[in-house]
Amino acid sequence: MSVMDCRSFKDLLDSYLSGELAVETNHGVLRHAEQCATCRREMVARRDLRGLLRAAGTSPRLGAEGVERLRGRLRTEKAPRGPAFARFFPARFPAALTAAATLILILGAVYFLTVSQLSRASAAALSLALMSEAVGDHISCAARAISHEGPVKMPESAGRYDPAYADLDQVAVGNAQGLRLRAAHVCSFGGRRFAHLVYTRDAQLISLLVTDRDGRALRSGVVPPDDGLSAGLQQALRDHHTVSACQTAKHVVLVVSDLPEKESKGLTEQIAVPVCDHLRRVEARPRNALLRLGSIDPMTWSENMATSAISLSGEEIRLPQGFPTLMSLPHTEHTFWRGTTVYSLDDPATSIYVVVKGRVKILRASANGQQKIISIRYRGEVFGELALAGGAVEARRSDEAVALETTRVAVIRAEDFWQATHDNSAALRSVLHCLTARLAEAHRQIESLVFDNNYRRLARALLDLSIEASRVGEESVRLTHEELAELIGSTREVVTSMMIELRHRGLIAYKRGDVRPHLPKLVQFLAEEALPNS
Amino acid sequence: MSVDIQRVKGNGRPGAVRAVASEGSSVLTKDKDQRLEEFEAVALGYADQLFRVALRLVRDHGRAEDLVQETYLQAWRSFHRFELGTNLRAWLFRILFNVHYSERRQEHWQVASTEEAMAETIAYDPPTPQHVTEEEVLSALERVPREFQVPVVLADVEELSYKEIAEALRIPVGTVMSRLHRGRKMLRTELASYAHAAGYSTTAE
Repeated sequence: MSVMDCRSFKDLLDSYLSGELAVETNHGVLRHAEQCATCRREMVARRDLRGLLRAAGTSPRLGAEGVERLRGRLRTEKAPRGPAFARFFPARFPAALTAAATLILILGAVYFLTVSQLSRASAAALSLALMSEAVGDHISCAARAISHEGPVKMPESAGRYDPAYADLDQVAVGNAQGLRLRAAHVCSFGGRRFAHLVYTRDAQLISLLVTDRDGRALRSGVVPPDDGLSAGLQQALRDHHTVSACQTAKHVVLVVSDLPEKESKGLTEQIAVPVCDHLRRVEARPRNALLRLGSIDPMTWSENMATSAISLSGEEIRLPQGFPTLMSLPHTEHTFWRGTTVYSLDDPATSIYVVVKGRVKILRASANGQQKIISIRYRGEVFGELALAGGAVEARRSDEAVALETTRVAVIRAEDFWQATHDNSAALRSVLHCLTARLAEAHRQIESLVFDNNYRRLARALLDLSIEASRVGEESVRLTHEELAELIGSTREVVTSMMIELRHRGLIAYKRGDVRPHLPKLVQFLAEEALPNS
Repeated sequence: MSVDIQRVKGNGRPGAVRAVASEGSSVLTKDKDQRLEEFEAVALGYADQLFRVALRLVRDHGRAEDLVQETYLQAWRSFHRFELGTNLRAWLFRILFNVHYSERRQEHWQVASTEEAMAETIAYDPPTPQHVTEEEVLSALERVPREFQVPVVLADVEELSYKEIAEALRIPVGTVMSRLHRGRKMLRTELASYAHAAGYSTTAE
């Protein structure tokens, strides 16, 4: 590919940011950005400007009242008279017209009675669009998704879409007598996202779908205020499939099958109602992303903690030696959703933290808002350890800790720690072990930042990360390109193009947010110093 | 410029035919409420976007709301001619512009006034200033002539694809791209002058 000059780069840049360029041209733009610092800055500046413009431009809204007024005007408007209507019912045949109108009325009534026995609670009646999407998802996805062997598990990533999705498989499997759970995943159809469980019973294929109860899911278009009442079971026929649905305040559960309506009803009561109960429990939990959860929510966390305790004691995961010792110190436990802050800049540094489950990224930010990931802490590791340095070094936090996924953290107060170390040298040793490991990591990072080019830095980071990940029993490095960029001090665009190159050379395999390095090749690459574009 | 207008008028038509393509495949089998519900389900999601663009066109909250209502009424009246699966958002935006310009016909093709501004901006492409606020961006956008401002808003704020913009404004995609190019450049020029006035260096170094 010929090298792009700065002028054509600037001409193409906006279209690149709008996602309107062909793939090859995208690569050309990225390649140029990688080599030309001025253009890279221009790219960042224009992307910021675009973000600013979007932020500034999207503030005026029609608002719920405006939409209501609009809806009102549409309701008072007559039905559209189209050419098709005129062709079939010419005004000069009033008899035919009357007959046809009667026929339509009867058909309409029959349709209404048989097809949509929905309107008991009209405020909560589900929209036909939702029914179509559910049936569409069932048709397009269920048969392909079923697996033929082994127990079915919802992928962990499901919780990222909605915490309520994470444990659906466990809830559903316990209540499905006579049914076999064959698949559990998150998918989307027609712009709607579903948590999708597929069952089989004999040769019947049955889908249980959970989705958001938003305006588009309801016939009225507006989500009624939560009165704590469920709308009961609703049924409809759509494209030769039976849909039965029940609702909670925030979710709709749909069961799609080609069973007769009666059978479908029984089936739904059997499998969907327990799911609804589960969802209500989850919804009762505060979902505000900024909220730190209290120590333990007995309703939902007890089972989780039991299972994680079992897996923690298992042999297959090698936790740092001091972990049990640290956990024997007085501590409180908290849970943080993905993206929430464990501690932030300038918080008083009075406690150290241990990752009980999940992952945490440690960030430092520059004055103009750029972020750099200093390190990623996995299960069993300590973070926030600078609190032990005392007020002279770190009275207030100079970094930030953010959960990378749903993460459980044990908080140990620095005072308690020092108290405990009087007669427990194991605790001291475990933290020292962690600190020296951190120091080694920091030295490697400094070395990498000073001596390596972007490719080697990325390769080295991936190598370190995958070793860390395999230690806690994970097969892949689960970071987005943005996060990788923050880790190696680069931009997402450059990381993306480098990842493409690394994949091309067979050093890594990746899907979105899931990188699987080929370790021997990566090590060889780092040893050979065969550097592209250096 | 006259060439441009002809192209606009000439090329608008085939697009119009496309959106109208299949008529009423299911008109007979559904009653009005159901169709209205279907229409609302697919169309009302764009109300905020339409409203924002309407606000940019008429500058008044009440009138913008009227414009959006009128757009939806017209869309609903001809919904039987809309084929589900083709681009509804572009179709709605096109109706919005139709309604607006048929109300204010005299304003329709006032492109000439911007020629001067263009001549100025074509030669020089300032680097994007680094420190700007939302207010500055908005008021700089305000100073970009309407003809170029609207495509920029559609692309960068409402995130329509170039093809959707072409359909909505009934202009060829090539024209969309050149207007976007100029519009974005004008915006940067305006911003650069702000930044300059505020004493910031606009060069990247």
